[in-house]
Amino acid sequence: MKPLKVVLAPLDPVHDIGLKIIRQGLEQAGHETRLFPPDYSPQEIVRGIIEEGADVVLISRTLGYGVEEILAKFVDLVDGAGIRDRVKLGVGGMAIRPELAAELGFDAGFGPGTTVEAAVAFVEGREFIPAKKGSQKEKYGILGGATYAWRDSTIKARLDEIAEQIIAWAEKHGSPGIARARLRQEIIRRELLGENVEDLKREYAGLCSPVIADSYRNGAIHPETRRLEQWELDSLGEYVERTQGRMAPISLRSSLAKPGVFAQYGTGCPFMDIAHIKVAEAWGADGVVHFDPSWGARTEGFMEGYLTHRQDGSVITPQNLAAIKKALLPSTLWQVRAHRGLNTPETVVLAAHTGADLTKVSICYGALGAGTDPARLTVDGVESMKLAARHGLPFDVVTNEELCGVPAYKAFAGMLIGANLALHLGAKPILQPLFCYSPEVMLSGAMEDNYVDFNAAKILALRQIVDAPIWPGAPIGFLTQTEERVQSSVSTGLHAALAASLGVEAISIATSDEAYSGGPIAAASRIDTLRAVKENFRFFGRARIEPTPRAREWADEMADRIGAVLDEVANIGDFVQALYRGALGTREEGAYPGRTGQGTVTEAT
Amino acid sequence: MQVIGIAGTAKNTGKTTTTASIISQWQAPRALAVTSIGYDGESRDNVTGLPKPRLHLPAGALVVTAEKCLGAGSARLENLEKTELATPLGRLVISRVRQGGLAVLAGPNSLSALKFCISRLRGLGTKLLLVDGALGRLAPMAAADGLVLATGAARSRDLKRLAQETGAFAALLNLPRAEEPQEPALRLGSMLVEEDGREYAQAARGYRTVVFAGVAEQKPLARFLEGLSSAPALVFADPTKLLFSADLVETAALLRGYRTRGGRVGVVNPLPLKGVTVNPFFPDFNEADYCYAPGYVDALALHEAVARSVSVPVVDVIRQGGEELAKILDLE
Repeated sequence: MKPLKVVLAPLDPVHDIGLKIIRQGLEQAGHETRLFPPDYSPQEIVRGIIEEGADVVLISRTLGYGVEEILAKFVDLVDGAGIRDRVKLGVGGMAIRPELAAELGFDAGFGPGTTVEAAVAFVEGREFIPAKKGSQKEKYGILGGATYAWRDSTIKARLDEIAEQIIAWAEKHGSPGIARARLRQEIIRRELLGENVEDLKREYAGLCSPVIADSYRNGAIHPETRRLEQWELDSLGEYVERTQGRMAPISLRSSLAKPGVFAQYGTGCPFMDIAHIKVAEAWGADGVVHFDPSWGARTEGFMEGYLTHRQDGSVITPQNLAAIKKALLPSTLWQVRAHRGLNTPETVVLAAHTGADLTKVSICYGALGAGTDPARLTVDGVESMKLAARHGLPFDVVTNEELCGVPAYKAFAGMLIGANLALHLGAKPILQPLFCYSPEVMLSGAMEDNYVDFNAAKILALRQIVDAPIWPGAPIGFLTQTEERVQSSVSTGLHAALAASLGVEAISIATSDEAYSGGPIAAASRIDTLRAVKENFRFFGRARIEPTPRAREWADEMADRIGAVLDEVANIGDFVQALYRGALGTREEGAYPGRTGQGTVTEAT
Repeated sequence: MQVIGIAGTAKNTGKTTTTASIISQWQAPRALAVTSIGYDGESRDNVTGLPKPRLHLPAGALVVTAEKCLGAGSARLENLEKTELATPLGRLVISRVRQGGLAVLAGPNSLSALKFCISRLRGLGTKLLLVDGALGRLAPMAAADGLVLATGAARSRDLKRLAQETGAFAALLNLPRAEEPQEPALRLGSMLVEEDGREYAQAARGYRTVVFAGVAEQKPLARFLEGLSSAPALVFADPTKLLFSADLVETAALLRGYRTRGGRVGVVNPLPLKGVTVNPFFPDFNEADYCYAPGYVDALALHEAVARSVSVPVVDVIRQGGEELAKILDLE
């Protein structure tokens, strides 16, 4: 095209860097540019435009008190001087939006984040179609290149002994949870064939807690829940379509290859969950984690239908999960947690059939920190791992019992038992140590100086034992965040930077109000921490955070103590008994073997 | 067809309330068209956070707004013509209101774009076109047949100063019509900086008429008038060309002085001021809680002060209702 004359005028006392960058782009595109000094008045700029015979004028100005009036007056002067029809006017700067540009009389408005390409396209009169980042974004590979090679053969030998014992024990036992999982698979299979499943559902109801059984027998739903109405579902569909049309998801990782970033949701309402997911996706999360209500973990069986409730955690039903899956971008990793309660195997089945990418199975935490009977969760856990392996569903093994007060090395011993058991069953486990200000460090003072060393020690310890994917959580910085949004965001961001520096595969992050919201999470606070993480990744890039020598000392100490715990568990010779006896966390430390589901383990048929 | 522009002296002076009031008085919706030279659609002011009135359009009326605003209000619109006129919110579309409701307006934002829209609306049977203003913008309003000025305490709480300013505004708008000169005249563009004024004064020597196609700012105008060695007739394209100065009182005084000294001043395309609406509301900033709250000056004192300064009717729309405006604009 014919080169155009472009005047760039910073109608601003100081700033013109944006225009200088755009000028470079325009000159590279072959246009003639003239950059005016920053102290020109609107009248002088108009006079300059006339003298230069400009085709296009780009004004740069940060909004402030009275600035709208100055910009409007500038446009009026251009119009009044009779040159408006031959000069295209664009305005850019902080807080400039298309609506404001329209109000002020400009032809285009460019806010923060405007690319040089967009400005050049405007100058040349071309429609600027930004690359659809969402469609280009690919699913993050969370397993990385982990080989699952054991680097500590002594620990590996102990873990193998324990795994063999657990598998042998589990083969002889069953549970209503396992029976329901098998029934659920059959229900799904027959529904796909269009067959009647009433008989199966009757059988299923017989394996459920009364409140769930009632929903199958009488249509009564759990008192904490209500059904979403048709108009709500209709508007949900419209909302997702409308929102996705506007979304251009960003990447958080800057120049980094990892970690992937997960956001957690579980507002109680699938509609609100989806809104949170859309926010998380738009602001760069690689994956989202479904949180179910704690009562769901203590109740046998799942209801059906689109259900919402006014408590933390969103009810798992086949329909709720399907609605959420439908709303996800193809690039979003989706984890449906199965880990801690009476519905663990069935959750894996539902997660796999609904299209989840990941699940979560944690026998030790569920049994010691989440209230489920150790025997029940062991037998259900083994079945869940088998199901996850069959469906190709990787899962993480958490160490949340640390939050109850269990020392990290004991929690890690439990996590490694779970991970090795998973490997024996053909599954792909992911280690999930906590990056947290735990009761253990509060008492020991290990984080008195910094949050880096102890968290780094955890990763170093695990790495010297096994080459497995590591996904600190959940969320990172747990118990370091306060009710202050800035503080919480900074803390989350710095923990994310530490995770990146340590080269872990993924992290889960909180919102800036999550720990203290006392109710619904605000979308804005979700953006706070996603932005904080992005900014930290941008700031540190491939530069490293250097822990002090204490980290290595603690890592070695931790690895030794993990070995000792595993010796003890192996010597007991019965994993379930080891849980009861406190080998993986004592009552004094805060680990209480759970009672939910006690007496429900059956002899295998 | 009558084209009425509603211009404001500042934000929150009541442009949209004035426009809404005129709409409510108009009895033939199918012959009504509404547009805006800016963007009007937020329910709250984006600076003060205080509620803003929005325009409710009756079924049958025509509306000119940008593509992206079409679905934003509650009014149901039928698109009649998508024009080639581009705005930051998409191309301008002429639509018919099928079901009355709130509309978000972002219309033609330059003089030529407004002229184009006027020509299209004329062909669609429009009898009254209302052009809602934007901030203090006036240039596109030169296409209108008359102007209603919305002013009030949001512009200034100093009623004396406000009255002076409104008087100056009225005086400049009501400059007499000047015919295109038959004799040789000096034809100039805009006087934007003082140097222009001095240069043009030299150039005007020997001419009996000087015609300005562009803008005349107050300071260069002062230098121009000072530098004249005679008193040629001054002809401006339209009165908006004199209204861009920060100090309208001084601009009006300069021209009044020139006329007193025997000089003639006129405009080729007059834009008569039809009336003034006054609004006692102002966003009152409270330093204790850093919030804005609605504030009001004495409505009667405001009305009296402004009415004394102009020869056109002055209406407090909220207090007096829209009937007064209807009479002024001869809407019956």
